[in-house]
Amino acid sequence: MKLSRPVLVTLNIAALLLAFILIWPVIQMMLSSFTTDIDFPPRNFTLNAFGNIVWPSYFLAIRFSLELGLWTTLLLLAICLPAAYVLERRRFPGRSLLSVLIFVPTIFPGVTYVSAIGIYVAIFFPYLRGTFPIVLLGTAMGAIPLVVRALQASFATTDPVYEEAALVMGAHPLQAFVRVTLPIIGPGLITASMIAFTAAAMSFTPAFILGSGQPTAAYYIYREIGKVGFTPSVAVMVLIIQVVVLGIVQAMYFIFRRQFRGLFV
Amino acid sequence: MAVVRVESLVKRYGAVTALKGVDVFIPNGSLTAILGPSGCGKTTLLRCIAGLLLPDEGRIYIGSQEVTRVEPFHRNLGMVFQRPSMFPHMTVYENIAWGLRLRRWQKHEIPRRVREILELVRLKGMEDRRYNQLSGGQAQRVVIARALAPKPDLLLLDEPLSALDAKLRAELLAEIVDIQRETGCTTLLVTHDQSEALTAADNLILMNEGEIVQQGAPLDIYRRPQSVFSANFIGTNNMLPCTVARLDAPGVVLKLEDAPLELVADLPAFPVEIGQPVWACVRADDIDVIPQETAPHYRNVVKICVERAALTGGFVSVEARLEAHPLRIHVSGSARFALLEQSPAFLTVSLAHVTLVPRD
Ligand SMILES: Nc1ncnc2c1ncn2[C@@H]1O[C@H](COP(=O)(O)OP(=O)(O)O)[C@@H](O)[C@H]1O
Ligand SMILES: [Mg+2]
Repeated sequence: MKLSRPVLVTLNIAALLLAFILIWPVIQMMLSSFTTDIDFPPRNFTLNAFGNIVWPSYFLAIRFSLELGLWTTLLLLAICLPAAYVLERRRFPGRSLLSVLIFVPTIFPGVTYVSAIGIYVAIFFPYLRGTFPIVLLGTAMGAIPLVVRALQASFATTDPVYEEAALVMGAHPLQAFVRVTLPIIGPGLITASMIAFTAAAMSFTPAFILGSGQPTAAYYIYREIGKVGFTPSVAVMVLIIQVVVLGIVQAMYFIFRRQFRGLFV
Repeated sequence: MAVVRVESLVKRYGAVTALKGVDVFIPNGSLTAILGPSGCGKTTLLRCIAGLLLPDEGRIYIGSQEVTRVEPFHRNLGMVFQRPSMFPHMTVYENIAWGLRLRRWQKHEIPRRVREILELVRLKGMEDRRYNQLSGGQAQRVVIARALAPKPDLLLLDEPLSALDAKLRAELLAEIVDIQRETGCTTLLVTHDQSEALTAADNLILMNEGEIVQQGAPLDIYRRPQSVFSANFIGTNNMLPCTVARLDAPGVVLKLEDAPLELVADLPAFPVEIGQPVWACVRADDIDVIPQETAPHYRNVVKICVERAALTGGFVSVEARLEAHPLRIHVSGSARFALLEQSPAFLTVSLAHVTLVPRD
């Protein structure tokens, strides 16, 4: 399609505007981190805000977020890989029902869904209330639809002919899956892991509703806002968790990218 | 090396019956081609033999072993698919070596075998390339090498050339034939391209709508089609409606419908009786243009009226009429150019080879 110049210019301006709207809160927050007060335009640059944070407890919150991110990613891959595979490659009774059920967590707002998990646990597994596995489960379940869909798209765009070739060559189905299918969907796998990790490390609701006090970074920040309102030190905390999670996700991408040489276009 | 036998194979996809009781025999060491139009069930049959599909009824034997329900990874076959299937995350070497490891080859034999097979498919020196560094033809050669390297009992080729352009197709087909002769590996080549099948195969299986129509030597099927489908699917055939006039010692005398004309044909494989309607099949390239004065030396000499003539490469394709019936002739030799200039015209021709197929 060939676009005329005025249309192109308009589209460019719209795209820049969108990017600006999206990025502005982050810029504002970064600026605020280095001032004495939250204001615009920023005045009185200082690093005082960094000193005003109760570092040990915030570090614990970050560590908990990252642990939760790691375990959630592993758990989600363990659940979603087989689920996405059978949904995409096999025809079985109940397939469309499962396909719909997987979307349940997105139909309800996060708080109500996690609350429902909390009630369920309180009734059937009272001794597990507030434990890490329950927080993990609550975090993972919310991200299942996203991860399953991302992986399903990878399977859908990968020709089953590779698996079949492997089977005829003498590979058992599991061998074919691990040695052929997984590497070929590698890029999709990385994307799905990045989604899972980010969703979990930035999560707030499950730790808030299902946990027993140990906050994630987001929950910690929420509590701080409740105590002291929006201050530069809150901005610093937001900045730090964002840099850490973004850094890990980018590192993951670059490390695994080398593993799948030839598959990334 | 194996003899493959398929007995009364039935495969249904819901309401569609893709194989309707198929019997196939693949001789040891042969290059057998399965030829049929698109959608006739060729891929389905091949996938059943490979173990990628479970048939609803019937049996499959490879060698003396029944394998109908044996998993594909226990069958010791090699397969080349219609779509590209070289593993894109492995190099050429790894693609082939992995297959050898799966078949439990000794570690020290693998590099030698890979080198040997790459030489056979003319890809020496390409060991470290990946899929995105190869042309379509080269990638398909890698898959052929990968399939052959472990010395399978049977090599299955599902339209292996269909993704390539015409020139490359002919080249690679010739190579497949050479490789098959060299290795002696029993090979099943699926194709919808008649010239591919006729060129390559020493045994031809003709398929249509989930059934085997005819099986035999390619020349035999070409010369003696046994059904209207066989007659029409391979080559350009003229189908003249006739009735049997008399049985005359070695052959049959036919009367052409709506015309005072008699033709002679060899005795067909099916029983015929006087008055029976039959099709007389005459291939466009089995009709010879002859000088009128030599007519007594020829069989089935008739006069035809040329309506159109067109040059199509090596021969001139002539549309003519024999009485009321359309007749197509391929004329080769130096006389053919004269035809291009002087139509309409009358020609004396000999229908040298007439085959009968049943007509109801
Ligand atoms: N997975 C499938 N589901 C339903 N019908 C199928 C499937 N695969 C093939 N068919 C049908 O079975 C018939 C034979 O197909 P196929 O074996 O692929 O033919 P060919 O390889 O000769 O072109 C066709 O009518 C096709 O539409
Ligand atoms: Mg096919």
